Amino acid sequence: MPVYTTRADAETAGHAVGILLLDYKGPFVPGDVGNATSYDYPVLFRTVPKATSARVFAGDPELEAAVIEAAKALEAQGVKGISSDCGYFINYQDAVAKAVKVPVYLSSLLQLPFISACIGRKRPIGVICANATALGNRVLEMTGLGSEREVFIKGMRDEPIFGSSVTGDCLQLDPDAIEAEVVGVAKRMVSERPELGAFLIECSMLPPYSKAVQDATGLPVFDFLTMIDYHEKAAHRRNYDG
Amino acid sequence: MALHRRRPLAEAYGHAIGILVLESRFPFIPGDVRNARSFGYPVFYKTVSGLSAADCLAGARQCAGAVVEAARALEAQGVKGISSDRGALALFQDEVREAVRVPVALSSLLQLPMIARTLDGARPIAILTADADALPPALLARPDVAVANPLVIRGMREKPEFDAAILRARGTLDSDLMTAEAVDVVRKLRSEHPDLGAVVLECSMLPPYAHAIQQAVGLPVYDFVTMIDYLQAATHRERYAGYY
Repeated sequence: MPVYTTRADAETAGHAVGILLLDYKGPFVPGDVGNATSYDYPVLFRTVPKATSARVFAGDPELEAAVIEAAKALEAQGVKGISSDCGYFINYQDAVAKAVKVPVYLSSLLQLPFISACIGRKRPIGVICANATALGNRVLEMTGLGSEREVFIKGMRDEPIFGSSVTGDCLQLDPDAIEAEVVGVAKRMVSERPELGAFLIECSMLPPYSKAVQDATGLPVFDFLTMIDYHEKAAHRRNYDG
Repeated sequence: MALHRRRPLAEAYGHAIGILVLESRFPFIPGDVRNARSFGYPVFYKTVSGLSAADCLAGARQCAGAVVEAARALEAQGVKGISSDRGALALFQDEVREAVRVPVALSSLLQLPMIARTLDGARPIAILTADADALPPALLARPDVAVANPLVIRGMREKPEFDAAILRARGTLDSDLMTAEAVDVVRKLRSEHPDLGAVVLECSMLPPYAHAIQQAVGLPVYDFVTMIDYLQAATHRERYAGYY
């Protein structure tokens, strides 16, 4: 064992990934980015004070200092990477990456260039998000995806149960009902665009339904959790004993 | 269980990822892309017949047919994604991708844009490869590989054990010596570039040393195995059975 040095600000040690949270209280079911049992390793959550979804969607510059402060606080606890529970934290991706030493992957959308490389430019990527109108070209450009790449976006907000579960103060959530809605949206997307090559589920509340989307469509399904798991593995390599 | 249909060409079922390999013979130790125990799920290997490493590096277009044919054979076995044991096969990435329905990631360098995006744009990324001179410029220039961050590319060629075991194909490999050599190269690189943000092991024979490299420099280490694990995870989603 090597010699270890005390981290001045760390209350505990061994947390793999730090996750910035919106200032929002919802039922984070297993599979949600905000549920600790969604991971095979310990994660540390930290709410960014006053980070409402509206401010994060818009990339409010006045919020930047608070986002950076929360990320630095996570880094001081020793996390090996920093993510978030809202894809629109991508608005602060560059600022946070500049402020800390560990890898920063605040948005599930950052997987788009790799997905594009794997399925080819001729096949669209299906993106399922909460609010499709908020996901415009400005956000897509920040992912590094070329503007010529076709992305087929559908929002869940018009679905009755999801819509009423995430808007305002959500007190209850029925995962079976939402699963049926997500699968319905995914199937409609495939029937509209049979050439669809993969799904990217943008919203951090939707990974609980990724398996159902895959079972219904047979396509690769990427989301926040595939991204966080990927970077966590790279930050914690193990010995091979085959 | 639902109704299952026979795949006319499948000899067996349940292989997660298909891996295209060249006609080369080395000691493929645990952690190597060509060691099945490097993966936590079944993989299926398929040799691209008649394709030498030199052809591959030269991106010989006449070989595209053989690469595509091998990829199609993997797809017919039911694999959910296709990778390879040779980064230079990415020179055929476009042809293979157009020929099959499953996602294709033939080079570990396809991870570069995703890795670069997690770091400040000024921080260098290290690429450790077998022979730095042999890394085709056409590969690094691909739009799905090129990044704005500075790249620091180092080969293992100057290291005696790597040179003898891999580049001269001695037939034996001392993994302790290889570990020491790989760690040494990355340590030196880190001291020259203290701001280094991540390490990418380009060569499919280097993942066995990822752990030791990470212990030495404390940086994220990406390679073929991290990429293949990622592809597997996205093509085989599981239900979350946690608590609330």
